[in-house]
Amino acid sequence: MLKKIETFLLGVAALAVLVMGAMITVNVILRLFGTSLPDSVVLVRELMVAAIILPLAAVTMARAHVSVEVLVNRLPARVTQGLILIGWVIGLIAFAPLVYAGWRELVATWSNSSFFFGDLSLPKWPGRLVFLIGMTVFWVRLFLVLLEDAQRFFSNKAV
Amino acid sequence: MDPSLIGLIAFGAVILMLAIRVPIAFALASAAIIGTFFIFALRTGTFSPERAIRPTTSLTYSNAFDLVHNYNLSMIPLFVALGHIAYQAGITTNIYEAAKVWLAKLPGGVAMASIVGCGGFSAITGSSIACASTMGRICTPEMLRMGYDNRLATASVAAGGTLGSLIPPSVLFIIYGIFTETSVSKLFLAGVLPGILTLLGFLFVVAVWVRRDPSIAPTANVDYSMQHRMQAAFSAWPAMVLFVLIVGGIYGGIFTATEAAAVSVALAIAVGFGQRRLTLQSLWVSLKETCIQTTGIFIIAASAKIFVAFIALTGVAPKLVDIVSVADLSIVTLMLAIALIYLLLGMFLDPIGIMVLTLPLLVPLVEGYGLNLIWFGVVVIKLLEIGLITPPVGLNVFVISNVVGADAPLHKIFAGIMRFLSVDLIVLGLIMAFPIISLLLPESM
Repeated sequence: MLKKIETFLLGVAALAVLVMGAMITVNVILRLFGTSLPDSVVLVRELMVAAIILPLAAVTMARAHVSVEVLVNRLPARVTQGLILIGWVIGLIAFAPLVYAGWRELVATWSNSSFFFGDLSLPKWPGRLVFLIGMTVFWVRLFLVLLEDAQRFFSNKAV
Repeated sequence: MDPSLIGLIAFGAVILMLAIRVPIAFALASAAIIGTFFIFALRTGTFSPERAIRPTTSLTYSNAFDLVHNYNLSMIPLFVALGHIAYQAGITTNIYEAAKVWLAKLPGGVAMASIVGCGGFSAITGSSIACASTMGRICTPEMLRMGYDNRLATASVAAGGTLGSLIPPSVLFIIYGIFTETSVSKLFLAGVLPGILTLLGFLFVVAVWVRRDPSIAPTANVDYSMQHRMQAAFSAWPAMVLFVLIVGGIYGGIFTATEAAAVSVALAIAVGFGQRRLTLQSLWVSLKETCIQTTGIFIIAASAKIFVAFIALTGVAPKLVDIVSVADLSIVTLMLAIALIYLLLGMFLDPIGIMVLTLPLLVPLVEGYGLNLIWFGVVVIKLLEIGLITPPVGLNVFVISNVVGADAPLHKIFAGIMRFLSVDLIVLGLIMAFPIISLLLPESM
């Protein structure tokens, strides 16, 4: 189930990159005619949230977070695997406040009906909602990766 | 507890976490969030955790969200997408093919073509590691097949791959621009001449090396006709147009770096579909790869932004400036010390990690000395570029090693790299001694 959600979110992010590029290009062309797309800057900013935050879970699933491996490479495999588990725990601690703050911010923008000043008076909540969804799925994936690795570690299998 | 002490403890914790393989983003964010929490909790003199939760989470959230919710930074996913799409459309590899046809008869010609190909690839993708990985798969096996010495066949591509950091568009320049609040367009232009200088230096290394020992690079037995040469040169036109579009568009003030990224993506897609080398499926794969790669970069950048905000709260940076001011270091000593720090860190850490870890402390220091941040950016990126090929880590060397496998052991690649490294150090010295090399283009905008 979570895998399907991650694949879907990655697809949405890919689409966001394409739309973002198209909007900016159209704006450059329209500038030649002295006009522009309304609120395109705001729309690109909102799309950026989707493009960057939604793939977080897929990045975690692919274990593609950058880390420094050279210093631990000479340690015994068991120690290295234990350190990987510690890394996941630290990740959970680091990003839990962002999930909590994301929820609080979404509720605040929704209840205040906050909007961006501009031609279209676009609401602020969609970007916040996308951020919360991306962060939450990422956090859940991180937790599941930790559980999976811990299970393998304690049953003496390679992490 | 004094906030600056909390800052120093957090900094130590980050170093420790990095050493035990905690992902860079997790290490930075956790240290910054816990440190910020303690600063707010201890603000009144007594420990009041309930007062710290809201300001800590708000500060953390606003820094992370604002970084992502940024129009100008959309150039990062767009430039990354350009690299993937151009590769799928065969635009990047055509440069190498063209250079090979023209240079094949020269001694070491294919190695030179590889370096020129890397320069062209960099001019589109902006990523050193992607450049080394892609060109390594194409050029190195070909050189080995032709009987080139494995040191030359691997080192020329590993070193050539580093050009991606300096020649615009460069992801490292964009990240530097975010953290120093300097113009990315000016940074791009500042990287052009040092990038070309490095490229010429690498070609010089190959020429001298092969001249001294011709057996390391047998000359190709093929003779290309003028028609073939012209066809090869013509096939590289999309890459030329993209480079001119990006650099010329920014230099001519026609569009911003963000707009250059979007327009060049649109052009690469149009060329790819026009030449029937890009399909909807390969476009979709490129976009998904773009997202994975960009998110990996941004999660580090967002964590670093949270860390920078935390360092600002601690007041460590101004204290460091005071300490250095009291020490009364000359600019030369300061720059040599910075270069040494970067070269040492470059042996163990990846470029983005080094940058986000050092810039919060170094930028106030450099500004205090009145140094130009655009020039300093070029120096930093050049140092990071050198770090990509210095032992024991040398990410580009590992990338090439993975590509060629047993054909070239790691120590052979590093042995070949030393020649290119010496040129890199000379170019670094020139950039440091003559800031005009970096500042000529941005200042004439």
